[in-house]
Amino acid sequence: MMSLGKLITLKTNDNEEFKLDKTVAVKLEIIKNIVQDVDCTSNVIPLPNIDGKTMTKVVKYWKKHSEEGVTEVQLKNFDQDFLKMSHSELHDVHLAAKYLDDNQLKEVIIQEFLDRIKGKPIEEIREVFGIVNDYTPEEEEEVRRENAWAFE
Amino acid sequence: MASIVCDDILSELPNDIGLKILSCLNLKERATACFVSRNWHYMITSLDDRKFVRTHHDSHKYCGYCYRDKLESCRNCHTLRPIIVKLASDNTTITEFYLLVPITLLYFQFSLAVFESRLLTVLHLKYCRIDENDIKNIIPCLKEIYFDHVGISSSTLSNFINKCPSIVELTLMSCSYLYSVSVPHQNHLKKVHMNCGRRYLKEIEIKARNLLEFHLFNSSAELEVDLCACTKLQVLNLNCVNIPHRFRHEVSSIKSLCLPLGKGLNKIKIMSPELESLSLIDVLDLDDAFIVNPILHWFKIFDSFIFQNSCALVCSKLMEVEMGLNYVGAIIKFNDMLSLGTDTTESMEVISHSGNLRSNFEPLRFKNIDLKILMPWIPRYESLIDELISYFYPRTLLVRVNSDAPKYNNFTQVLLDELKNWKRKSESSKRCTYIREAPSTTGFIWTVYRQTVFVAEATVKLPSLDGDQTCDHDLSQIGKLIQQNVPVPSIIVEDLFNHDIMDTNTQLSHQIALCFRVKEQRIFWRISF
Repeated sequence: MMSLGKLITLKTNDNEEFKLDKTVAVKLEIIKNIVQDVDCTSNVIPLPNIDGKTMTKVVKYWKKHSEEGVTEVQLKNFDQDFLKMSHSELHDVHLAAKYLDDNQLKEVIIQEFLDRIKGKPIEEIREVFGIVNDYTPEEEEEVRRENAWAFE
Repeated sequence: MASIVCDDILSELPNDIGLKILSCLNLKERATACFVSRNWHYMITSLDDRKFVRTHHDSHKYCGYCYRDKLESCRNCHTLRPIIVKLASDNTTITEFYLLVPITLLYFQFSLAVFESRLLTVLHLKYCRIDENDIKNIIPCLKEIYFDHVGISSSTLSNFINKCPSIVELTLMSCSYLYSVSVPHQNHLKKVHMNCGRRYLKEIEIKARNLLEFHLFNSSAELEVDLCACTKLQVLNLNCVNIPHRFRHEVSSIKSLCLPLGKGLNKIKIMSPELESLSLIDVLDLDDAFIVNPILHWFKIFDSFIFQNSCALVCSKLMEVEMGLNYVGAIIKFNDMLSLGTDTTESMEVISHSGNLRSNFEPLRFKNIDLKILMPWIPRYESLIDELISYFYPRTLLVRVNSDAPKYNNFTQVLLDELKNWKRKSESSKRCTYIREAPSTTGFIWTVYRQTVFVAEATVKLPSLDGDQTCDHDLSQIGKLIQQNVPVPSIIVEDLFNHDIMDTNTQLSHQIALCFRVKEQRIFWRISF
């Protein structure tokens, strides 16, 4: 078992180190498992799949969400700001959350992706996601027929 | 060299995430998402949790249902009623229910069993009827209600919403039995859309304290709107021919305000500290505007440009302004029309209308100006463009003329001459990019950046000098022509889609990415530095 040191160090694949309060870190299943496995002398947990930039964001999220005395409104505002990032950044954070098995963070990000799609006109979705319309007019007509009920 | 950034992240995401995201869309949203691209269509149709149900026979498993006039695959059922009864009795685990009754069955009353589904989350009804005693139980999961021409009385509606503790979004379109709408408080209710139809609705009262968005379309002038309870409202969109004559709301928390088509609105005074985005579109009667918002950073004003008195606007320097002008012929002088300025000292000092350009206030940097010139025979354009540039410094200027333009006063030629002057002027207004565009029949697009002319690489057809024959030119050739100040009569831009920028001058110091989209004679563009 690991020593009772209060800080746990997470090391990303680009050698950036994050010191985390143990009480924050062990909330995560994966860290708990690693903490049990890892050599107790080193106290450093390597995260081979995550880079420093992404981890900074994740740690920021964890810290805020484990702060004591934060009101729900504050958390909501924090989340709103936190999620203001590009698709690819969002994607990276999602991958990290997946690797770290943080379901809450995963869900928050999927919800954000959803919000970027939901209720938006097709043009805008394409614009936001930088997608090029690759339908031929005939194909488009076909899809329209298929889904005609939704546009009545 | 700049390239067009393509980040179709959903396709790049590992399959499971992309699919997970798309599977969270409801059936109607999926139908829209199918149009985005082939890949999205493929992903959506490969989702196997639900299906775009078009037959009802195997509805045990599926949760969507939709009936259309054209749906003739169901030979066993001769009328709509048994279908719904069967569906409902077979399947009390419907999660999304869409019923679009043909108009011939107007105010069709369908089986109540649908409401017995404890899992119902989405309810879309069109041309149906709901009566007082239809809804007996609480519908615990219902999140979205969309009623289009649904016969429902005011009290039934209030009762109904009372029984939907999870409701998030409520849309009421032309529900003609409704004379007054009173939406009770529900914790999760975030969005309300109302389209009042012609003249039925007299009163709207919304008591949902957590409401974030309210959209109102087509109200009558006598409508009373009471949003006093919605203290958290952030988006207010009054898309009405007439602004409701009694509108009760404290706008303190609003972040986005959109006022298109507001007849009778002739004075506007907005001092909402939280406002971030403001759109005034077609507000024809507006003749006095006073807007002071420290953090407003997105301002859009379209087709409502005839201020009789003054318009003072003080806001953050970061503001992005989009402006569309329709009846440009009516404008004599810009600086008499609109006194816009950013306060360079960032203080809250208010400018009154002075008409003095060289005051302490820097003219706003307009992000783009969209100029629709409908009356090309008015011989004022020489100085018009001049004024625009000297006063507004737009980063992008989009000029649209109709296809008759060349007939009057050699209009195209006038604009072309102007362009030469622009090049000179753009030295002084350092970061200006101008695009001129006309409907694709007689269009031309130029981008001037500093003294360099950039054109997009695309297949272009130039009318040859000897008649109607067109011939293909590389745009770089046209770029050279432009640089040599050779007037190019007109260029038909056919396919600007997905082409990189071709710079005709290698001394390009900034990257410019242009993305043109051709859609129904309109060219969408995007420029970034």
